[in-house]
Formats: sequence, structure tokens, C-alpha cells
Amino acid sequence: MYFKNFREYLSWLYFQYLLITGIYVLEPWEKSIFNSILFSAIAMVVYTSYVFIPIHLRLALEFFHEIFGGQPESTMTLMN
Amino acid sequence: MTESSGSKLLNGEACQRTLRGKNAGKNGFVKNHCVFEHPRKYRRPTERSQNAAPNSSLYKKPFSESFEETPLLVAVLTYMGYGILTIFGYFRDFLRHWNIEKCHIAHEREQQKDFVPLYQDFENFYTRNLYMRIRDNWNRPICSVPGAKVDLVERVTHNYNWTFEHTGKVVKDVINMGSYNYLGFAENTGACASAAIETTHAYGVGVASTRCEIGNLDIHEELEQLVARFLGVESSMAFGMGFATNSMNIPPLTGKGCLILSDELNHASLVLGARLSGSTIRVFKHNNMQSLEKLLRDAIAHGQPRTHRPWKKILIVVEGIYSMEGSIVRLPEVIALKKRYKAYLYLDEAHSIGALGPNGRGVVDYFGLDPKDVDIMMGTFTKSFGAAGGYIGGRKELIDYLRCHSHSALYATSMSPPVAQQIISSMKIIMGEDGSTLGKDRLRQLSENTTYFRRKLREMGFIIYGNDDSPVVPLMLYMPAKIGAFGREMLKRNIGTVVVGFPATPIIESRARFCVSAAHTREMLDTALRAISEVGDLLQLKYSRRERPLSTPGWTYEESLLQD
Amino acid sequence: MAAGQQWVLVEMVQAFYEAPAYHLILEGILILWIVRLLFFSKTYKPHETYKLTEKEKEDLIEEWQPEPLVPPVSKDHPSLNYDVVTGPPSHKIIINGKECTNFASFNFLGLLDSDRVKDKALASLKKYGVGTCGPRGFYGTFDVHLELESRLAKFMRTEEAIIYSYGFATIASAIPAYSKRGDIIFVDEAACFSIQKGLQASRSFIKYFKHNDMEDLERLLKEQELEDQKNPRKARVTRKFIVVEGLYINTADVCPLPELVRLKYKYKVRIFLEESMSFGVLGEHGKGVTEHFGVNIDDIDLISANMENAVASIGGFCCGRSFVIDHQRLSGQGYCFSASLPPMLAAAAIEALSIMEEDPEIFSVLKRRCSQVHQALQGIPGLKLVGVPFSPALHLQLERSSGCRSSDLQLLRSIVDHCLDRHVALTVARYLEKEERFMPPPSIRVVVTVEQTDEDIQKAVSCIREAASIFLR
Repeated sequence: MYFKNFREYLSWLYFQYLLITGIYVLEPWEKSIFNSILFSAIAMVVYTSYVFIPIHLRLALEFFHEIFGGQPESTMTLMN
Repeated sequence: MTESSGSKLLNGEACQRTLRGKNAGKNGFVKNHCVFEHPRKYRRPTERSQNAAPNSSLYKKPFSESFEETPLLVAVLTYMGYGILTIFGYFRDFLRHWNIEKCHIAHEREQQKDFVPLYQDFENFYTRNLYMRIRDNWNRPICSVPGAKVDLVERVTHNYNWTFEHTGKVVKDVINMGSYNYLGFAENTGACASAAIETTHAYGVGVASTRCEIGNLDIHEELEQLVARFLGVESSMAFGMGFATNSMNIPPLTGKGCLILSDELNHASLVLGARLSGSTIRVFKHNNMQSLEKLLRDAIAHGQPRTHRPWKKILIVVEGIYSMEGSIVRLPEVIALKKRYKAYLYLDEAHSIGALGPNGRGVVDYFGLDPKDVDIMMGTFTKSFGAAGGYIGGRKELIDYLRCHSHSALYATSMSPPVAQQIISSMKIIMGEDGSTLGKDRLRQLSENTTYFRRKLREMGFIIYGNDDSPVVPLMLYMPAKIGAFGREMLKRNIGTVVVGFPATPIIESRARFCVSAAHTREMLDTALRAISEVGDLLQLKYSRRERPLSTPGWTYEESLLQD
Repeated sequence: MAAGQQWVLVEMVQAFYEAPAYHLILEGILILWIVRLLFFSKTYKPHETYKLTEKEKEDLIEEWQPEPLVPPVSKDHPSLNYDVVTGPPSHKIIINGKECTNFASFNFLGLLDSDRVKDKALASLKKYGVGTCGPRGFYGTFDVHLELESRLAKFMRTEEAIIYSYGFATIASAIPAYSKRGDIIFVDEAACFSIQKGLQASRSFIKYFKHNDMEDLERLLKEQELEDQKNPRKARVTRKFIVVEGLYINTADVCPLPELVRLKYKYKVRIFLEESMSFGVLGEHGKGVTEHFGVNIDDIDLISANMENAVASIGGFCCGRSFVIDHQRLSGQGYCFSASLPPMLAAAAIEALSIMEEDPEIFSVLKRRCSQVHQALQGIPGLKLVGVPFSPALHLQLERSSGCRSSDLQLLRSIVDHCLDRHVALTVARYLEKEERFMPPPSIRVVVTVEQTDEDIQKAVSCIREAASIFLR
């Protein structure tokens, strides 16, 4: 496929999204419901991962550090 | 659900797989499973060529038929699409149920609200929530000859396909890739039409009686003699409707204590006929000779269930060309099996008569076999002959029996005289009895068009099902939204196509179907191919993962001519 | 966040250590059991012992001899040799080379050779060609079909109509579209063959009531009501239908429609009405048996008729409320899977409807002719006239049967042949003897059309009288 400009490419991408999810056949208001649900879900995933992954990673790191590093401190104390 | 799933069609004739509809999902799964195990190119043809190998001596020319495997990702996405649409279907049903949304469906009459509901709630779920959204792709009214180009009545909808309005405008010159006009005899001018006009003058259009009583016109007798000559059989009989030819003539032939072995993709009329006959029905895998042979052996060895009495007779029911798959029956092998196991063979040539074979005499002619080896030759006049009705041909005893016992002969009005005349004239043209080479030309044109069209589509990278020589060309779409999108986009480009989805096909194998005609010129095909390629890019339909053949040996001789 | 900030895995491992022993054992057994189910389950195969060796199989296959495909037909089977009609089967008909007056084709209104109808058919033929080359779904819907459907709906004053390409397939497809396995259909014993095929295809429970016997029907309905009270849950999903003919083709009498409608509302059963014989015949405007009785057409759930008799074209239609009819567009097998009606035949039907609408006088003419023929055929010695005075297709049965069906038929056939020799075309009503559920007694069918003159009728009746006096001694 050749596209004249970026906008055309984007609209083609959106069209593919409509086709693959099947919402091409839905009525506009149903499309917007689907889109908003999907986007809010994605936004939530992004947000939660932004908030929790660093903490999680840090805890995991420290846990392994504790096992292999042999430091006597318990995880509980680490948190306080 | 089993029964109603068959009745909730997505479209017209396509829903021929009432039997198969329910296990479609299962099939899909099995195939996907295979994909897991062989992540490289897995295709059904490999198994096909295996089972062709030992019997290849039966074929006079290469028999190449292919059904490329559904790519795994596509299958997953297709299921996902159906999932989303189903959720929205439930959502809409919920809204309609609580009257939040205005319901466009016709209501039960007030006085009869307390009757047992005529339809179960789930019965029309699919129709209401999927078919309805894309139903503008079906039942498009036309207002011209259904020839190579048709005029469509323009219709619009303001409420998402619940109702249509005709704008009064006409969409002119749409290239018709949907009608079964294989030999291009759907014409309003020419020898056939003028003969039909004369007959109408002489006879009128109706008959108002049955064949057996007083509706047996001389023109019917003439037609039957001609059909018998055309098919190369002793005798034949014509009926007013193709569907009824099957459903009303299988019951007199078999009954209790008989066994019908039916291909899983047989047309609804064959299924109905088999069911009405009261015989035991067993289904073998589509065009799979091992499956058929196994059923035959087991049937004869074990006899009837429980009593173990031997079967009275065994009837194998197959079609010439399968209209949704584009495959051609492996007739030489079927005949070999039939002879070995002393079964009878019922061959439905609805799509193949006129469309296959050097003389247009169907699959028997295509494989160069003797028509006497087929016990019951059935076919329709709707397709290649541009008329209506059906016939049964065979030995004289068979036809004599049918003349006395066919439901159609005794209870149904006989064929309309102008329709009979259309068949006579078109058949004579095919046979060359009109003294011209018109018939031969059309047959050659059809086979050239078929080869060209199929090859081009394959080169473009579409997944095309079926036999290389079959004028029925299914192009796989898979995803539910693409069914609607393909039909609409093609119509935008002034090309009329047929799209088919569940329940006419297995749930993930939605497809578009083209019917190549002798009336299509090379330019029309090229226009159509260009549009198909364009839409294919737009909708990402070029799924095929096989290496695209640059030139296949069989075609090279006309390569230069075909390359554009 | 404070307390929950343990890394989850740690908690899991800790929980595992702390769990009581019995818990671990139970879970272990569970896992083992699942593994066993997954990998060691055997599929259940019955009759292992019946396994035949290949040799035995081969022998059986060698031994097996099927019955012939069809049993031989005797040369003089009554239905084997059809009479050949040369030229159009209109009022004057040439049978086996002999010109006769037609008292056998169902061309009640004489529209078969109407020039108006022919002209319209020709115009359509010149525009659309003959065939449609496709089912309704796939470019087989012509504007003519839509027009015919709306004209039929208008003519019958119903919301919607749907056309089929074959009269026989109409009711035979309509019944199984609604009635499925487990549903119940109450049918008149005299119902015609296409109804019987529809019933068979529907696989529902069929309950036959005596011909036109409303008490018998009510008895069956009451029985069913009791049954329903025993099992109300099943009753809520069991659809019930009454299938009757307006004017019975086999007995030439009319169904007691008002009584049926009363029973319909009393027992909540839907009525399907087959009107092939009565459409375009009964009623002031030819709307059929509903108009004849003055019954509100909306009280009938589905009316089906063919366009092969009075309309003198080909095909059939169903009409009723959209709620009912629309369902067939996706579920009527004969509609979906079959090529659509050739447009010229649809155009002919439209023109026939126009003629019927413009000139309702034709129906009273037909009615007069019917009663005239009915009157004239009374009291022929040896023959018994069956049918109501306004029926256009009457039956003449033997007064005293010889007890053997084929010899009775032979007798009737000789009467028909005698009349044929005297230029009166009649026919013996044909049935499939093995297939009919309730075999009607053998009869000669006399069809009345508007084209028959007083002289024609007189001549025909005297021929029949003469033949009867010769053959029925």
C-alpha cells in the first residue's frame, strides 16, 4: 500500500483496527462505547504499571539481594 | 440450538451446511491445533495429494485442488471479532428488552401475546445482531438481465439496515460476479430468447396441472428426450424446480433399511431429500475417499444398527461442483468405490452441468467417464442454461419408476413452457445442434476465464479454495467485519460479489465467492481483478503464505497472452 | 501501601510452608487425579468383541447383494404413460391429438391464455431474459419479485407476502420454518400431499383429526391442554399449530374457518391455512376462504397458496403479518436455497392479479358456473359427487366400490377415456398410493372454469352420464 501522507496512513490503520476487532459493523455510538472502554482499559494498565512496576521491581531486587547477599535484615524492616 | 443454527442463515442458498454448522467450531479448533504442531506451512493439500497418489491412475489429467490452512493469527482474531460482536449483541438485546432502545423488529400481535412464542429468544440472535448489520450485502434487487453486467436498484437505509428505501435510481453496469450464469445464457436477446418468446405466444406461461394428470405438454417430452441425449443416458425426466428435484426424488428411491452416504457439504436439498426418505444417513468427510470407503466397508460388514441385517441398498450422494468450496468431486474414485462395494451413485450436477467438461456435459465429461456408471444423474437448469428447474437422468427403468412414483410428477405443476423452451435452445447450442460453434466457443471461453481468474487471484496472494478448473471461486475473508466491508467496497467499485459467512460456512471460514462466466470478457475480468486487489490491500486479505508462483508449467503456453 | 508491599512470591512460599499437611495431601491427590484424567483416560469403545478381521469383512463385502435401485414397473402402470398435450393447455386442449374441452386443468379464471398476461410476460422476458441464475440472496432478487410481493400483500390485505418459485415447495417449506422437533401440529386427515411433506420435514409431533370434524379437533386440543397442565414448563416452549386447507383439493369441501378461529383463541394454537384451491376463487374479491367466511385475515397466522391454479403462472406465496412471514426469508428452505422465480412468471402473476382486482365480477361468474356444474352432476347413476357447490374442482367417486382400488381406478379411467373420445377432457385424480397418509377414494376430477359455456357443461355432463351408464352396470 502506498500512502500520500501520514494522515492517510493513520486512517488506514484505524480502518484495520475497525476490521480486526469487528466493530466496523457496529453503529457509531457502539463504536464509541467500545473505543472508550478499550482506551480506558489501556490507560489504566499504563497507569498502574507506571505506579506499581518500579515498586515491585525494587522489592524483588531486594528480595534476591537478601537471599544471595545474605543480609540478616528481614523484608519487614526494609519497609519501615 | 442445533436445528435453529441451520435456519439462521446469513444469506440465501449458501446455507447449505445445516448439518455441518454445529461442528464447524470444532473443525476449526482441530485445524488450529495442527498449526501449533507444525508451525511451518501446513496445508490440507498435502493430505489430499497423499490420498490421490495411490489412485492417480484413475485420473487422466492432473487433479489439483487446494485448501490452504487458515493462518493461526487470523483464526484467533476472527474468534475475537465474533466475541466482541456477540457481547454487543447481548448488550443490544438487553437494551431492547428493557425498552431503552426502540425495537425495529416486527412484533407479535397484541391478541396473541399469551401464545407460546413463535420463535425462541436465542433463535434469531445471530440474525438480529450480526446479519442485520451487514445485510445490505444480500438480496440486492436487480433490474436487468443477470448477465455479465447488471443494473442494481439503488437502496439506502437510514436505520442501519433495519429497513431499506429505494431511491429510484439505478446503479448501472455493475460487473456481475455473483450469478451462476456460467455459460452466459442469461440473455434477453438472441436465439434462446426469441425461441422463448415464440413459445410464450403459443403456450402462455402456466400449465395448471401436473405431469401425471393433464400437464404433460409435447414440449416437456421434447425436452426430456434432448436431456437424455445430452447426458448420454437412456432416459430422463425434467422437473419444475431444482431444489425439489432433489428433495422429492430421493424419497422414492430409498427408504427404511437403506443407507445414504452423503458428503458433509452436500446442498440442503439433498440433505432434506435424504431426511424425507427415512433412510439412515451417514456423512463422510468432504471429498475424502478414505472416509467414504471406511463408511462403505463398515456399513456392509456390520449391517443395520442393532438388528445387523444387511442394508437393502446403499446410495452414495455427491455433488459435481460444491458451490461453497469450489471443489470438484473425485468422481473416478467414487465410481471405483461404488463398483467395488455395489453401491448406487446419485450425482448432483447443479453447478457442474454445462460448466465443466470439453462438451459441457458436467463432471462425467470432465473426467472422461461413462455416464452409465452413474446411476442417477441429477442437475439443474438454473445455472448454465439460464432457465429454471431440474432433471434426473439414468437408465430407462429408473426413469419409468420415477414417472410413476416421483412426488413431483404426481403433485406438482409441470414446468412452464417458455422455461422449457429456453433449456431446449440453450442445450442445443451447447451441443452444437444449432449448426454454429457458439456453444463450443462459450465452453472454451468459460474454461479460459476460470483458469485466468483463479491464477491471477492466487498470484495476488489471496487464499483461494477449490479446484483449478472450477468456475466457482471462493476467496477467503475470515473475519466477520470483512464480510460486510468486502461486499460494500466491491460495490463501490461497481462490482457485484457474493459474500458468505456463518452458518453457511464454518464460523471462521467466511468467504467471498465469484462465479466466472463465459459472458465475462477479459476486460471485465481485469477490471474486477484490479478492484479485488485494491480491496484486498485495503482490507488486508492477502493472507496466503505460499511462495507465489511466477509461472506454473501448465500455463506457460499462453503465458504471453495472459500477462497484462 | 505499607503492609502490602511484601513481594507476592515471598508470601506464597511462606503460605506453602505454613499450610497444614492434610491440605497439601489433598491438593497433591487432586493434581494427580487431573494428570490421570488428562493422560491416562481411555476412550470408551463398545463392542470390542465384535471386531471383524479383514478377511471376514472382505467375505461379507463379497457376499452382499443390494436390492435393485428401483423395482420394475409394470408396462401398464396407470401413471407410466402420460397423456401428451399438444399446444397450450387452455380451454380447448389437444390431448393425444384430439381436441377437447378442458375440464381438467386448474385454470379456474381462464388466465392461462389471456393476452394481457402473455403480453406482460413477454415484456418481462424481453427485459430480463428467462432465468434468474441465482437464489434470492445472491442477485436473484428482481424488482419484479418485490413488486409481486407487495402486490400480493396488498391484494390479500396483509402486511407482507413472500414468493416461492414452486407451488409445491411453498407450504412444504413454510411449515418446517416454524415448527421444529418437539412442537405439535394438528392436521386435517384430508390435507394435501405438500402439507404432508412439510409435516414430515418439520419432524414435529403430528396429530391428525378427522376431516372437518371440529369436535375431534377439540378433543385433541383438550387432551393436549391436560398434558400441558401436567408439564407446564414444557408447554411454555411447545409451539402448537393447526394446519388446514381452505378448499380441500382431495375432498372439494371447505374448512369451517370461523370455528377454527374460535378454537385458536381458546386453546392458543396458531393456524396455517393452505389456499391453493381457494385463492382467486372464493370470496367476493377472490381473496379466498377468509373473505368467504368474513374472517379477519389477521386471525390467520399464515396463508399459503400457489399461483399455478387461478393465477395460471408458476410458483407460490405465503402471506401474513411481517412478524411471521419475515422469518421465512432466512428459514424457508425452498426460498433460500432455490433459484428465484423467473421474472416473466412473476410478471404474469402481477398481471393476473391486476385482472382479478379490476374485474371482481369474474369470481361471481365462476361461482355461478361451479353451482351449475355441481347441480348438473347430481344424480348420475353409479357415481357420487363429492364437494361443495362453490368448489371449482369437484370429485366424482364410485357409488359402490368393487373393493379393489386398481379395478376401481380402471373403471374410472375407462369413463375418462370415453369422455376423451367425445372431446371432453377429464382426469382421474392421481395419488401416490404408498406415500399418502390417508388415501382418498379413487375419483374423477371435474374442474370448472369461467371459460366453459352452458353447452360445454351440458355436453360434458351428458358424456359422463353416458359413460357411467355404459361402464357402471
